[in-house]
Amino acid sequence: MTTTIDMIAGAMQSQAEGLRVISQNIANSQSVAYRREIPVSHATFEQIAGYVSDRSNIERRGALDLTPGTLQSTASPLHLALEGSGFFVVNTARGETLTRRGDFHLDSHGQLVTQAGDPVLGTSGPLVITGDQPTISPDGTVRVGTDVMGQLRIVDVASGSALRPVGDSSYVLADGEQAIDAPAPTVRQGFIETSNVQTVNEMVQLMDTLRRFEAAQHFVRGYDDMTDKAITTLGRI
Amino acid sequence: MFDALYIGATGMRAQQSQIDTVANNVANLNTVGFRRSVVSFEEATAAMTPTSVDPMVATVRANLTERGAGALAHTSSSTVGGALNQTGEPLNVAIDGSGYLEVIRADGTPAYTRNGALRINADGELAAADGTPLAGSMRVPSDMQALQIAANGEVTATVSGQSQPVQLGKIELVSFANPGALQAIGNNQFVATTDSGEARVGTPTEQGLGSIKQGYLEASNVQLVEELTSMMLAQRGFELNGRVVQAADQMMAITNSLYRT
Repeated sequence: MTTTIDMIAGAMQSQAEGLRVISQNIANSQSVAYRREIPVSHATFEQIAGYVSDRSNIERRGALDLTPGTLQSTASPLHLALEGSGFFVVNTARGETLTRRGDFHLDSHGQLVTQAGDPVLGTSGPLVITGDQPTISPDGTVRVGTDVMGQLRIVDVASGSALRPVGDSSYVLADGEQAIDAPAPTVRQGFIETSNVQTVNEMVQLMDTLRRFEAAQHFVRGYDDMTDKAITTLGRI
Repeated sequence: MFDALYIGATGMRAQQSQIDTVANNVANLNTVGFRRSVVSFEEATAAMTPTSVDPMVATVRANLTERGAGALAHTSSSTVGGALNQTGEPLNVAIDGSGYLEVIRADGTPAYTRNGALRINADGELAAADGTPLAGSMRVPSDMQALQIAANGEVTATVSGQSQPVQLGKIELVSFANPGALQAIGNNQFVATTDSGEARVGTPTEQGLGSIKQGYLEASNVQLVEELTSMMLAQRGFELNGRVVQAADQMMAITNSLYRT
């Protein structure tokens, strides 16, 4: 008897989680290089079928949609975008993180850093750029005039599920996942990448989520009516 | 339960700061040497170490149990130069490069500006438009007939009764490793911060600082069309996030109506 109610409650909970993901995507529809989250519920069969009434331990981990965003020109020489797949590698307090957010600048020591001030890594450690008007070629080589300052390290991952977001459009590798070398990265200087959120899709999903939630409400009411009848009508002697 | 409500609110707040920034930029469309502020949005998660002192953002983060925590707005100042307009005024200078003029404030600390509309202040010194003297305290003789400022910053004056121009001093320019992090203190002046790095003083025309052009002023780098499109985007973004808040509210209403009395 409790199973039906549990199943409906579970459905309502996953719609609420769906709304969280949609709201996160919409809030970041203009965030630089944000990658859209796709709601995925990792429930066991027993949990879905309602044999287990405790649903609190269902892992709710969104997968990432790694479709590239569009490139936007900014005219700033230290704004970099990646065409196609791949990630920049950044050295942060929580270790190496991957990001496609390339609105970099130089810090007070001339190091190439992210907006948060963490150094962007080259093939041999942090990149220090001395001198004016650096040029960055599509393969990631940083030059000032004819002097080579280093080369950006660009890696790739097998799929979006290998990454765990840590905020600021940057990601760490999920447990047991490995970064692979990007086969042919293309760095574009003077561009940043937009968010890959399509607001139309998110709005449609928002409507869908709301209606499913509403439908679940009607199921609960229907079930409640049924139980009511069972007790008051059928139970009468 | 409904994180979406708070996430939607952070989205609205981020768009709000975009509107505020656009308003300030547009108000300074004709301010000499003004550098526009640029807002970039970034994704926030509950796992992020709170770097913002903004109390609302801190509250939102603390309230969130799941990892997505909405969006944050980050403001930095643009370092793209504005157009140089000829004025013909001998006391107007523009910097054709990345350098800043240094002024010495009343408390003796330096501030930096791109506003080259100079004047001679009450003490007879070459000063910024608000009377704050330029570094190097260049005293202008009272019987001066003409003032020349060379591309390399040398200031000379022609004084009546003397055939040779008098040396008054030298305007030096300063640069920063990260000029985007300079802190605006109003009056079109900035002070250095730890993020911007120490001021590096140099001679104009060297190290990319740019040359000094007498008789020119640097226009504001605000582009009206760009600001208006940003404003429209922000308005629609605000609306969109508002819808999410509404949807979350609706879902909460549905939850409450599950139980009928």
